[in-house]
Amino acid sequence: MSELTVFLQQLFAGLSVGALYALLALGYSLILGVCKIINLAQGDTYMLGAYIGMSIALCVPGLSPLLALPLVLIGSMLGAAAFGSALERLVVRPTRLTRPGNLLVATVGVSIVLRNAAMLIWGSDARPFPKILSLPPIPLGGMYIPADYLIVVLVTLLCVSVFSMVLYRTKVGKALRAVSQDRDAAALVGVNLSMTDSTVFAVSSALGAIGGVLIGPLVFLTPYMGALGGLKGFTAAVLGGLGYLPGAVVGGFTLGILENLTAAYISSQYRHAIAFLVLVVFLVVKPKGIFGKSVVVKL
Amino acid sequence: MSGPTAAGRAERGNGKGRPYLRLLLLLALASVPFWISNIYYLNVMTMAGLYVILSLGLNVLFGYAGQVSLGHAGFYAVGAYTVALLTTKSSLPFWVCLPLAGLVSLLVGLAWSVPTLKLEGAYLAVATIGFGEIVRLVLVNWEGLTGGPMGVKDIPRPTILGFTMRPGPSYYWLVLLFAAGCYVCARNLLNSHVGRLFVAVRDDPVACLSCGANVARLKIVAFGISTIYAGVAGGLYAGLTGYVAPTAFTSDESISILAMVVVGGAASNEGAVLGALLIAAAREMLHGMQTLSGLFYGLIILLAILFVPNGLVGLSGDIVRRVPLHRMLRWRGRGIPGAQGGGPNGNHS
Repeated sequence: MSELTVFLQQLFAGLSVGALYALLALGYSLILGVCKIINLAQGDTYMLGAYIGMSIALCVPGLSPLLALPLVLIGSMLGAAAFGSALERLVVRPTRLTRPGNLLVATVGVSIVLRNAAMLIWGSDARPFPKILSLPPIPLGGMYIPADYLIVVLVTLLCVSVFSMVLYRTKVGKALRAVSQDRDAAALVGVNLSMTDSTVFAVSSALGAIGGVLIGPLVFLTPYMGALGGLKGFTAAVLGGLGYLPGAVVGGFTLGILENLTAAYISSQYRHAIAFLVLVVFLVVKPKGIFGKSVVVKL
Repeated sequence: MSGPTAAGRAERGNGKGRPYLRLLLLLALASVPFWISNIYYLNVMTMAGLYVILSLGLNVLFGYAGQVSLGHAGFYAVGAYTVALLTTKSSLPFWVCLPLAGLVSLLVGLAWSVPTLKLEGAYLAVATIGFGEIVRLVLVNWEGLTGGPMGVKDIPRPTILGFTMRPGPSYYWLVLLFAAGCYVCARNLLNSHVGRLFVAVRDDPVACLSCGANVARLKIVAFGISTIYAGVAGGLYAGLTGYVAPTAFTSDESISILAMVVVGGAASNEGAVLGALLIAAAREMLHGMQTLSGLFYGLIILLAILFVPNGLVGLSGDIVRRVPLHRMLRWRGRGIPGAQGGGPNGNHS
């Protein structure tokens, strides 16, 4: 294999895992932008989405892929969205006005409960995600790219465009943007804050679930898979500027590519360390991210 | 906004009054080895003492300064491995290594946290998750130094005047002495102006800054203190077990230390002690149920925050406030039952 082929293959692998980070980073940024909260259970929505998707796929074996894929995707998005709005309604809302720091710890509590509940329901062993559709690798200039990678990236881009259409072209999206600019002012002109908060948590969890269904077939599912994914998603959000949505997408893909190139050219043991390194370096040097647009407050 | 005021009440009364009660409690705890002869239960009590030190330290950071650390087991591990490696590889005495454990933990903590403490609280939380994971990975992978997954064996026990302290009554008293000392230090610090500044940083960093306090430095001081506590607890742990391995310092351990502070009542040293003892006891009962213990910590944190947001210590104050005695009295006195909802102070709880 030539040098260029290796590079391109790592690039595509990076794009596919980067899609997951982008989806998770969008969730972090959306919740931070609108609710001014960091939701540390965000990574676990990815795990939840993957497991729900797996359960649905196991229930409908032999269904044609064109029917099964949307069914699995929408089913796990709905499941995760229900979890997200329950999280907002039952945990975030009552905790908001208590002691500062409680909210962050409460989301940690939710994430631990979710992981252990998943362990009780689906077992602690690593489980494979059933193959829904198997396409042959796609030839591209003398090399083959697994079709899964392309599907992951394409579906992610599709979801992100639908999401941005909703955000910039509909009334709900306008309400979300208004709340993210100024909560009190938005409430004064009649935006229903409890509705927007609930929506934001549901949407963020659904985005995580999309990541779970897409990446699930490429990895093995474990109840703790959300921990590392969540940390990487947060890093991606910091990279692109926390609270800045286009930055989250760019940050996710950048981190994915960076990680795979590190694994290929430096050492595969440092694959996960690179994310921590990026996180710390950015928090120190450029806390507002590569675009300099962020809602980070420095004291 | 009942939280901050209730917390304020708890803080003002923190550690003051009834000193004899505390002394009596200490004496009662010191007498435990005389009526529990089972070494196993004494060791459980000794471990509980270490958790008291850990949760007192985290309480300075989370309860008072309002910063969350989700990787405190990392600093605990740094302290434990400092003592383990120094005593086995350089044969320095334990009593030299123990302060060094606190110091190394402090230095590592500062190096990791100074960059993030200038930002809002949540960034520190995420950075500390990363810290806990990195410490664990280093412990497992750097086999030349840390012994890898096998850990470090044969750590010499501390000796005083030729008397070797082994697990059992003597080590229990040692840990009790340290825990009591840590309690007194924390209480004195937090009742001083520094403690009040921590609370100010937690409740309103912007107002605190505009009054001329150095918010970033205060956060760093709080973080430093909590890492020293964790390091010392780690050092004592190494001397107690005589053996350290990465499995003792997982992220579950970090979460359980946080659970102790939250359950007992953040911003209260008594709460930190109570929480540590309760969680240590609960952990002992859950012994052997690996899958359930994680669920237990998560649920206990969640339920504590939702239903007793000021912790068990704050609960007594909450009950007094929620039973509307003053309203009942007013109703009797004035005889106008309908006139309560509209007043400026009508519905303030």
